[in-house]
Amino acid sequence: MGLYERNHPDVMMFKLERNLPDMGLLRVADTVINWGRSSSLWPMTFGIACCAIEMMAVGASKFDMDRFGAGAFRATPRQADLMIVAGTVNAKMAEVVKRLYDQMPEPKYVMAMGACTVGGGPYWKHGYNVVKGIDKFVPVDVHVPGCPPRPEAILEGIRFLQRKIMARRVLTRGEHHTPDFTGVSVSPGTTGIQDPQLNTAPAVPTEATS
Amino acid sequence: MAATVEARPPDKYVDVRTQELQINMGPQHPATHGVLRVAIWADGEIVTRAEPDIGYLHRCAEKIGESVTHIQYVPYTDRYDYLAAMNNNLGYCLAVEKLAELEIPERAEYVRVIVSELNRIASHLMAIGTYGLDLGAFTPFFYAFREREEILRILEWICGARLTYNFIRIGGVMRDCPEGWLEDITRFLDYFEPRLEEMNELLTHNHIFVNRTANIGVVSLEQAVKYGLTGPNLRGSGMRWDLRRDDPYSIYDRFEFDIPIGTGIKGTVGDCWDRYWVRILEMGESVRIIRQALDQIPDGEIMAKGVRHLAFKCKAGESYQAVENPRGELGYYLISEGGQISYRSRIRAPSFCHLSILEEILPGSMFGDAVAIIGSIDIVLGEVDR
Amino acid sequence: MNTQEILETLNKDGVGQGITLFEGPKDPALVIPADRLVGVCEHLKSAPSLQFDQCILVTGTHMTEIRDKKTKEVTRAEGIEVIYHVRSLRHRALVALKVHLSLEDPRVSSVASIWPAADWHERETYDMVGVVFEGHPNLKRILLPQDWEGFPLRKDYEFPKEYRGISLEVDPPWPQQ
Repeated sequence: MGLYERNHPDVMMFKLERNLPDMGLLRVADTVINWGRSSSLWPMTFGIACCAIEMMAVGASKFDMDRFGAGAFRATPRQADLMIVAGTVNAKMAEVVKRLYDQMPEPKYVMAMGACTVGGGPYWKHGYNVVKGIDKFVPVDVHVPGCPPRPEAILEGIRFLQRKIMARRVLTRGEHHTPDFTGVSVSPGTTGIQDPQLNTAPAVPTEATS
Repeated sequence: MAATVEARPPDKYVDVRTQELQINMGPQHPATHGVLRVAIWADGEIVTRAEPDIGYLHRCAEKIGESVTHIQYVPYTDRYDYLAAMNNNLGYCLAVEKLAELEIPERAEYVRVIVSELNRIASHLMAIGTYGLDLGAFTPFFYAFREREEILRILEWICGARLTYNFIRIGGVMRDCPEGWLEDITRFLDYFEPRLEEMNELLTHNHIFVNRTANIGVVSLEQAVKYGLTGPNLRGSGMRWDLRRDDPYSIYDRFEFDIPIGTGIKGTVGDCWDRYWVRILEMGESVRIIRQALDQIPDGEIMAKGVRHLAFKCKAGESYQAVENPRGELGYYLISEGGQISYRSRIRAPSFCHLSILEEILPGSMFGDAVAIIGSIDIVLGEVDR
Repeated sequence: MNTQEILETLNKDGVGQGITLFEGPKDPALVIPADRLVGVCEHLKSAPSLQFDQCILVTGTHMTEIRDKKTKEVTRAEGIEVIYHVRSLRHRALVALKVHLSLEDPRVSSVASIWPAADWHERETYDMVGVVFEGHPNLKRILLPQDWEGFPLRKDYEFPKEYRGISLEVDPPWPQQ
C-alpha cells in the first residue's frame, strides 16, 4: 500500500471490515470515531485575503470541496472543526484569529493556507506589522504553501489532514503528537472604535445576519 | 419580470423607537467580503450610526513600495486588488513607464487591453456572485464561478497563475500569446455573451432580489462626487464618467464602447440595484472592447527595446497615473529620485474611498439592508487596507 | 486646463498670493503656503471656472535632506510634504497641490470639511507619516492599532520586534547555535 493511501479514511474502513475479528473493541471504536471526524470536516468561513478567493473557488462549482466531506462552510466557529486561515495575518488581526480558534469546539484543526500564514510570504522582510507565520500563536495541523495555493493544493491539504486525523488515538493508549501552545497568550488589542462597551465585548460576534 | 418597488415613506418607522443597540459586525463575518469591521448603532431596526474599522489586512504596501525595486514591486501590486490583478499591474507599469518615458510596442498594448478587460469581467462576475450570496441567493454564485473559471483558465494559459498574474511588466508584457490563445478567447466570448442573459434571468429581475436592492442605499450624485466615488459606483449614481474615455490611457481611445449609467429602472437613481446593473452592462461593454482588440491586434514585439530588467532605472520626477479598475479609479503616485527604487509610492485605492461613504449612507437604513449596501459598493479589503 | 492656467485663474480671482508653480521633470504642482490652504481649496471648489469637486488623493511624504555633492549646500531641507490631488469632473482637469511642513511640528488645516473624501485620506496620512490635521473631525489612526508607536512611512522608522505579546520577527529557518 503506497504512502498516499496510508491512513486514508476509506482505506482504513476497508481494513476495518477485513480485520474486524482480530481487532480490539477500543481500536475499532477509534477507527470509527476518526473516520467520522475526518469525513465531515466543517470549515469556518474565514477569508482574510487573496487566498480566500481560492478557498471560495474550491467550494464552488469546478472543484467542489464537498466531495471530501469538507464543503459545509460554517459562519460561526462554534459549529466548525477546521479553521482555514486564508490570508495574511497582521498584528491587528492576530488576536481575532486567536479568539476564533479559542471559540471552536474540540477537536479542532487549523490549516495555514498560503505563504503568508506559513511564514510571512512576500511580506516577511518589509512587512512591519505582518505576523510571520500563524504558528506563532495557534497550533497548525497542515501547512499549504503557495501564493495563493491552487485549489488542488487545498484539496490535497484536506486529504492530508484526513490522514492525520485517522492516525489519532482517541480511546486506545498511546501518544499522538500534539504541539503544546498553552503558554502562548494574546492579549486583546485596542481598536479604532472608542466605545468602552464595544471594546470590552467580544470583538467577534459570530451570528450570520444575512 | 420588471417589478418596480415604490420608495418607502420616510416617516413610516418613526414610532418604533426603542433603546439604542450596539452591534458589531466583523471582522470575521460571511458578508463583509473579507475582514471589514463595522460598528453599527441601531435604534430598533434602523441604523443610527455606523463606523467602519479597517486595518485588519494592512500589509505595508507603501513601505514595500519604497524598499524594493520597480521591477520587484509589480508582483506586490497583484495582491492589493486580488480580484483584478491585471488592472493593478497595468496601473503600476503605466506609472513607471510615464516616469521612465518608455515606448510600448503595439502588440503589447493590445495584449494588455485584452487581459485587463478579461480580468474586469472576472472581477464583476465575482462581485455579482458574492452579492447574490450576501442576499441569500446561492445559485448565481455557482453560475458566476463557472464562467469565472473559464476566464481564469484563459489567463492561466498565458501567464501560469490563476489569481496573482504578474503578467504585465514594465515595458510590455511577460510573453507573447501562445498558439491558439486568441482564437480561444473568441470562442469564450461567443459562449459568454448568452450567459449574461442567463444571469439576468437568475438574479437581475428576480422579485426578491429587486425588493432587497431597489431603493436601498441610495447614493445621490452629489454625495457620490463629494465622497470621491469612482467607477461603477459613480456611474450607478448617474454620472457618465469613465477614465478609459475621459482621460484615456494605453490605447483605449481606439475602441468604441458605451458607458452604462444607473437610471433608476427599478427604483431610485443610485440605489443598490443600479450599481449592480451597471456592472452587468459593463461586462457586455468589456466583451465589445475585447472583440475589437482581437480584430485589430498586430504582429510584432511584446517588450520595449532597451529595458534592462535586472537594473531598470527610472528618471527622477513625480507623476500620478490613474487607470479604470473594475472598482474605480486606481491611481499610483510615484516620486522617483532616479535609480532603481521609488522614493515614495502612493496608491489611490478606489475601495478605500468607497468605504468612507458607509458612514453617510448606512444611517437611516434598515439593519438588514446594511449587508445589501456593503455588498453593493463592492469592496476588496486587500485594497482598502493595502 | 493645465496647472499653469489654474494658477493664472487663481491670480485673476485674487487668491493667488504666495502660490508658486512647482515644475518638476514630470507633473507640475501648485505650492501653497500652509496657512492659506483652506482658503485656496474653498475657492478651487466653489469658483465656477474651476469647480474642483472631487478630492482624489492626499499623500504625505517625508522628505530627507539633500546636499549638493560638491558645495555641501542644502538643496532640499528636511521636512514633510503633503500633496493633494483634486479633480474637476466638469472641466476634466486634475491638479496637484503641495504644502511644505516642518518635520518637528507638521501641522496643517484639514480640508475634510470641503471634500469629505479627504477625511479618511488625512487619517491615513496621520497614521503613516504623522501629519496633524487641525480641525479634522476624527483624527486617529485608521490602519494600524491605536496604540502603535511611530509612523511607518518616515524614513527613519524602525520596525517593531513585537506587538502585545506576538512576535513580529522572522523565525530563523534552523535552530541557531
